Amino acid sequence: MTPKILSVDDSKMIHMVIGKAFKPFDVQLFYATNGVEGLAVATRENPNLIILDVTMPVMDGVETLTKLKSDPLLKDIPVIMLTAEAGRENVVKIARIGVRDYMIKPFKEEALIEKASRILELQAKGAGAGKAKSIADPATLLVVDDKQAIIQQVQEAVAEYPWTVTGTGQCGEAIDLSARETPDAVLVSLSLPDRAAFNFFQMIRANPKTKSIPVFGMCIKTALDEQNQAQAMGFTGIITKPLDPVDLNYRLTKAMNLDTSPKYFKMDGNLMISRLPHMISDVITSEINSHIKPKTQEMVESGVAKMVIDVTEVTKIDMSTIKIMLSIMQNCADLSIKYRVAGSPEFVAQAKTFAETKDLQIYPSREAAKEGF
Amino acid sequence: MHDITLFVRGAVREVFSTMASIDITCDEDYPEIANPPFTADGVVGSVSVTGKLNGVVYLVFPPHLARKVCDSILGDDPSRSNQEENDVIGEFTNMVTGNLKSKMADKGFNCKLSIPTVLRGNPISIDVAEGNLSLSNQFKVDGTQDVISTLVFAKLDE
Repeated sequence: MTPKILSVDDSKMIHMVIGKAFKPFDVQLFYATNGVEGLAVATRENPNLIILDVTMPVMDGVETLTKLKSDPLLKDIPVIMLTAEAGRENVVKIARIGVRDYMIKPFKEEALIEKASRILELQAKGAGAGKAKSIADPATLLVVDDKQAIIQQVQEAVAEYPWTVTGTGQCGEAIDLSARETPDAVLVSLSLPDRAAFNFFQMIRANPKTKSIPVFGMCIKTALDEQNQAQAMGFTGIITKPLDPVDLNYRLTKAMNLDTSPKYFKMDGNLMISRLPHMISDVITSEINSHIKPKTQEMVESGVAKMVIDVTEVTKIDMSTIKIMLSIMQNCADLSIKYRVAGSPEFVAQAKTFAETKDLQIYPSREAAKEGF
Repeated sequence: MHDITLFVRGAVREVFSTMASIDITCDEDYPEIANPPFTADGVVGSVSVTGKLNGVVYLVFPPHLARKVCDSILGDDPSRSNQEENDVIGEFTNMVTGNLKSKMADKGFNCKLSIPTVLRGNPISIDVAEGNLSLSNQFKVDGTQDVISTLVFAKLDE
């Protein structure tokens, strides 16, 4: 997938300089002129990197960064802070909130690319054609934990994907394993004896082959010292135990920059099937929302004009479900895509209690919705 | 020579060279002490500073130089709006003042900056209401007759 980069700056000049710097690379750029807009775009687009100015009207960069870091959906997005103020006090302040790197204005385009390429794998335009990875592609996860149960929980959490999970309790062995076959992501327990996880992380980052692999630290929620230290060192993120499979999946796929749309959208003959899962959490809502517009546009561009919205797995309707359905239906209507909805009898009964869906015709199954469509 | 003058000189040269690839040379004969009111003609970027250094930093560009700087960053565009030029001049002033702020903070004079504003006019009279510092610099753009002026009208809380 093409990496997404969000530039948040009130200066059009800076946006243009950033645009020019990344022009030779295969990236998607998004722009916002203040923190409020930036948070909205970040929520919608889930960028892989945010370049954030400090001094802005409406909401400045420090407040924006604080809000990003307190949002479970956005906290792992790496941020490069741009500031005209190189003073130690300023730099320490932004480093404390969890910024990945910073740039002092004025800056050279090459310096920005150098910093961004430490975080993202930048590919020259055209070089990555055909290499886009999705959740349907094989991947390797390396889990370093001395508790076998945790390795097993990770295996179970990602069982629906064609991923290989390799587990070990020893950091030395983990280094050997990652040297033999570079993993796509690493999960390491921060509570391994002798600060082994932190030394392991430094070795991973020091190796040119593994320096850009996402590395997550795992620990219990109350291990704040370990979490702070891992964040300060630049771990991709912290995953707290007990593991939440939905959260784990979401953060791994995002860190590996995988296209997750096949989970929710797939072609079936001349129809697009949009499937909503059994449970719709905030992360799933965010994930589906980020795919709706591109997938419907892709349908129209490839001559597909019909969609079945399959909610047969959904057993309980809430406002998140309604909002996603309405968003899919609105995008279909905007692009003249015909749609039908398929849902279980329980879903139909509950749908009648919501003003937005009470008059919606719901077919009892996906097959019934496809028939004669 | 006042430290602020030295800091501003370094910052202006660095911003022009890094962002616009324009080399400029400070006119050493230009009087360091300004004698307000200062009369400008063209485009003036300003950023206010509050704290242990209180005042305003101005960057003064003749109109054609503002356009040239803008073109060197954004590319040539004969139909370029004043708004785009204002954005570039504002950002340049912000970078110069940010740089000055950092250097002053290292000397114990912490302060905060406003977002930049840009004035246009012919003439613009810039005066100082209160302050113990009125510092000016002039820079020549290498290979041309163009000049850029800077003004710092401020009060230092010593």
